[in-house]
Amino acid sequence: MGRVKNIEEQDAIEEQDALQVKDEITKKWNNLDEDSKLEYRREARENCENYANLKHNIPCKPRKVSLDTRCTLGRVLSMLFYFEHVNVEIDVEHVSKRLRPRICFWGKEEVKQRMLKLQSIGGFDSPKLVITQMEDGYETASIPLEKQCINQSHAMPCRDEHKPNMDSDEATRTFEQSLTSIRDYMLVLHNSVNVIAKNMETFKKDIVLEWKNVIANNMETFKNDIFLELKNVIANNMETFKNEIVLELKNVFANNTETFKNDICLELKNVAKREHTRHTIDLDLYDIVEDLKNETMVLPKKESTSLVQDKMDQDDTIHVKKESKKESTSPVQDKRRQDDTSKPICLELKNVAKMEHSGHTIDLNLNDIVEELKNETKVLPKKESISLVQDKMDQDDTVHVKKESKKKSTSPVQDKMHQDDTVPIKREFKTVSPSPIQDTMENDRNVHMVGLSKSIQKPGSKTVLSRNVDVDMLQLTFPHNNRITASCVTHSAKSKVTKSLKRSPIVTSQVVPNLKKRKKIKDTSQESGLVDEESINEFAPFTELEKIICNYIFNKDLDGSEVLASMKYEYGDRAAFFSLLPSQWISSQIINLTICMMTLEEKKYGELYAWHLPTHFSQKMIEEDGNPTLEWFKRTYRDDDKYMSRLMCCEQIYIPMNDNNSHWYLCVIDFSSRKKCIHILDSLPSTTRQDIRIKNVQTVVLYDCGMYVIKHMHTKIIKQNLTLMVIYLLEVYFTVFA
Amino acid sequence: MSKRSRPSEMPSISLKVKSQDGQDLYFKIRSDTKFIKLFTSYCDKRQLEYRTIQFFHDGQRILGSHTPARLNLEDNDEIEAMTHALGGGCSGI
Repeated sequence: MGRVKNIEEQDAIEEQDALQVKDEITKKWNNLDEDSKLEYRREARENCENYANLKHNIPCKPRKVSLDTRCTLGRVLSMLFYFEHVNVEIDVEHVSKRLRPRICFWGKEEVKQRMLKLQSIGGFDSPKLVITQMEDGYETASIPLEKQCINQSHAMPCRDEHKPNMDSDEATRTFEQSLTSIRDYMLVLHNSVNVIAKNMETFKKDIVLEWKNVIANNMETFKNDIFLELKNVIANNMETFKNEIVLELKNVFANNTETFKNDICLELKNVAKREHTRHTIDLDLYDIVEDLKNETMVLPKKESTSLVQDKMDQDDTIHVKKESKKESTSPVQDKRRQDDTSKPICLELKNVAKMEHSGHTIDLNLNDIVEELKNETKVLPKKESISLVQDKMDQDDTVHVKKESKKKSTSPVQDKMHQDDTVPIKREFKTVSPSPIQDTMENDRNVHMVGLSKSIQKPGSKTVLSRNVDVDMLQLTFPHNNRITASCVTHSAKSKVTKSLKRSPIVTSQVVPNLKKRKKIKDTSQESGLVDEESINEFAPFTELEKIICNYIFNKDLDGSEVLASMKYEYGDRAAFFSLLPSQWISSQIINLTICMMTLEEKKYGELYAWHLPTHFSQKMIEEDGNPTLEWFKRTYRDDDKYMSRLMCCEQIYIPMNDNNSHWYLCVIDFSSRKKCIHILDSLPSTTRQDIRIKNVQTVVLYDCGMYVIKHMHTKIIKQNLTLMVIYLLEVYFTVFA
Repeated sequence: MSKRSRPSEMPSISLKVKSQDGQDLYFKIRSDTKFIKLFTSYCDKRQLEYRTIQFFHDGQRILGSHTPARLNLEDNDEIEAMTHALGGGCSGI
């Protein structure tokens, strides 16, 4: 519509230009002298003669391509629209190179769409598209093969001085033709590329699925292999590992005893040196005593056996000392420990204690004592260290004995607590000092020394178990999910394929699969619908999904007024879909839905080349006897390109007709074939009602293609052609209905 | 006319329902009222079965769940009532 407006505007502008030019020329003419007028007249006459000669030589020289559409209508119009642009009075430049009126005025897009359509349909009668470049678009005409030579000669630009650039025109024309052919190839390539892309996707999916399955299957065996190998390795290395650990521990132990002793001695020395006041001595002495205790653990049994007596003696001596030396409690304890260690030390201590009356002298004596202790502890054999536990027990006993005996001391309880606590702490300290690994190993050894292999195998088995559990979890979760997704994917893919491929044998009415098929094609694959339709097997059983859909659509328990299908202008409720059930009469809603679908399909080509009119069109036409106003028609069917578009693009009009609310038949008005005709496609021709049906068709079609079409064309075509058009149409219809 | 405005502000429009036999009936309906009300009252008045009638406005079918605001109907617009046509086998002839 907008284009029509543009054309009209351009026409008006050109007319104004022409008038201006004319005015100017007349002014000039009036101003001229008579001589010059004579000269101009002579020139004009010569021009006229030249033109007449040229015209005579070239009888037919249309500037536009001869329009030979497939209908004779076009031919008639092209004859009629033959236009000459030669005007003597006006300069040639001012004459519009554009032709008016134009029958088909297509842009590049439209040409492309046309080519697409022709390709998809396969061509009506293998026309060749001749394209010539116009001012702002292309003018095309499909020319039958047998007429191509003539038409090409027609299409050649006239050999005239007005057109010196004839060769370039021709070149551009051929170039355009080659371009269109290249476009065709490109389209074909594009389609093939799409197909390849589709196949690639499916291929990828297949590969992924296969890989997933393979991985899922091999996962378990792979894991088992790994576990077995790990088990073997651990079992082999276990013994050597154990031996190494034991050796290391032994060495560490042996080394550490000496170093520890040395450390204690050093500490004692330092402490002794530091301590000058008695109060500090007390505390430090406690520590020293504890250290000594630990060392005394190493003491041999023989000495421990004679402990009690010693203690008794010691107690006696302690009491004596206490009585004599109430200065400090710590030396007493010292002495007690020393009793545990060795008699001579005890004696010495006794002596020392006796000797010590002043705190200052204690330091020196303590140093001596410490040195002696050192020597003694160094002498202690290793063998005794191995029998630690017994010693400890003895030591504990002795400690208890000491406790009993030492209740007189200032803080005996704390002392014991310290002792008890410090023993394990020091042990730990020993073990910690070399290296953390050995520490842990030692701990393990200590804990599981007897059943080492068992203890190590246990965590191994635990890990195996845990890994097995993991494996089970994996099997339960990960591959299972994979399988689920895979099955989903395959199912959906299958369902997609089968949805479009399979049909039910149950439904006897052929309309159901047809309609569904079309719908699904429209939904799933917008392009290449024809190929899909061919490959569909109509009698394959329904898939699950289709069964569900059918159950939903044809379930009589559900609401009959629920809208199931919604197109732009039409709706289909469940009650209408019930009419698709076997031995049911088809509702007009279904037919209208199909028509909407076909219209949408047609709209892909930009223009509607085939019009599909809804059922209420014929209904209205018949019932109102062809009386509806033109406005009403335009508003109802033409606006928005609802069902109709520009008539000149129209090739076929499909009008479903209803007879007495009991029978459907189709009326096809065909412009595309050589013979213009109206087909009445009736599946049940009846002898009694045939006349009525044909009469109905006449009323519908004659109104449609008579008044409405002419009126419609009137908006586009200039008035002078109207009468001829009417005559032509009448001819057509009389030939059809005569 | 917009849907967002309050119901009290919705203007009421008068619509002409045109049947196939040329008899017209006029209805006044608020823009946000569903057409089902109009259709049922029309069928009551004309003694028709609602299920057998379909309504069109400018070639577009109107459902009972639509409203005049949704279809941008204006005052004095026309609605055509038409029967659902059926067609089937030879038993009809």
